[in-house]
Amino acid sequence: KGRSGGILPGASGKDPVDIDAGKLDYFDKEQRLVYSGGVIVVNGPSTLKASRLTILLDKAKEGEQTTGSDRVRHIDAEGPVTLVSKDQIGVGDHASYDRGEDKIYLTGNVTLTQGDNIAKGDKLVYEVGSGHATMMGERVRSLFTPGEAKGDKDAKSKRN
Amino acid sequence: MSDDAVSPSGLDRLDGLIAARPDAIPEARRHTQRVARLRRFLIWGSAGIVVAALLGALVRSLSFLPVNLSFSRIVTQGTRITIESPKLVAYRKDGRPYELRARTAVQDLDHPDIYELNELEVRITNDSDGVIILTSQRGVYDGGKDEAALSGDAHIYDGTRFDMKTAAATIDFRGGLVTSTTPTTLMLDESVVTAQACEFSQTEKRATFTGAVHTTFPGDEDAPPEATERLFPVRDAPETDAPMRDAAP
Repeated sequence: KGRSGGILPGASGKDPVDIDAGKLDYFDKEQRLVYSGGVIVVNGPSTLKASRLTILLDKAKEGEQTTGSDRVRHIDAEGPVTLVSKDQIGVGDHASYDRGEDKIYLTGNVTLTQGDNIAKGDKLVYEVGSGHATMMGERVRSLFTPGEAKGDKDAKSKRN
Repeated sequence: MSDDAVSPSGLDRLDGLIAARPDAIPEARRHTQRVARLRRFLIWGSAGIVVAALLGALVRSLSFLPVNLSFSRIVTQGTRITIESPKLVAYRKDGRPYELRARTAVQDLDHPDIYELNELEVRITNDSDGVIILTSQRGVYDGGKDEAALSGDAHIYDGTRFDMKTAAATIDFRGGLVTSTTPTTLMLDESVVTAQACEFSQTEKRATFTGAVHTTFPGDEDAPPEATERLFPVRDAPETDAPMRDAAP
């Protein structure tokens, strides 16, 4: 019962989901929420920004006490999508989250940066529960700057 | 004037008139009572006619509403009628009833379609046969358009999942639309939505919020506290080649 973890990376099921937008359409029959106009989703330490966000909810069962967020079944975010989680930033054309799979997909011109490290690809699959992220694509390009190399560079720049 | 000029029967009648008659006083009393009764009847009768005319005008003005209307008291001042504790039951396009009550309803016979309502409560039966309740301090109900404009803390709720508060709202009963252009707070289950304006369409089963829309889905109390520690630990999929993988010099 309830979300095993948060909706966005790093969040727990206890963290609320806050969404800001210019407009919200709620369709009761389809249990669908459509946010548009500069959408910002905050959940735990992560923030997702998108131009349009569609959330599909599970129907509230009669008499069942529900917080609303545990009924989030699927989320689609139209780009440009930016997902910021602590020191990591993921950017792509489209993102989606599926509670059944407990995964976030970031697709289309995906760039993932963490400090000086960069990874580029077509698709990033992030498993919310385990925290594993897999970058996929015909040509995945990653640039890692080891810590000591970075230290040498800083020392050299101090000497000059 | 000599006696023989007046015929004996004339004398008899004259005598009859002036002669002291023992039954004259009771008869006079009965006559006075008859006159008094007639006067009372005239006064009450005319008042009754006026009231009946007013009531007739009122009922006729209500006749266009497919409703029945009950109330506790009616007070008239010129063309303005104040109805106390009115309860009005009407029907929407889909035949579902809605009920409108108020502490007072004021109607001006010059504009019989318009009711000014104070402390009103509207009960709308929705499709799942639940009841949506709507209250506000003031409201103007237009029977011609079948619309109500609410002001003074409008509150719309169903007592289970849905609870909306706004400063003012307009209800189009026939169209099944509730609109508000004032800051609005909606609780749906335990999620909260706030916005600058909103529109609810019961026929489309749609709610639209605009202007600084903020939604909070509360956390799930039963959920495990720990979050996933490692965020985005990038791991290349085995099948892909990553020429940039080698560290920089």
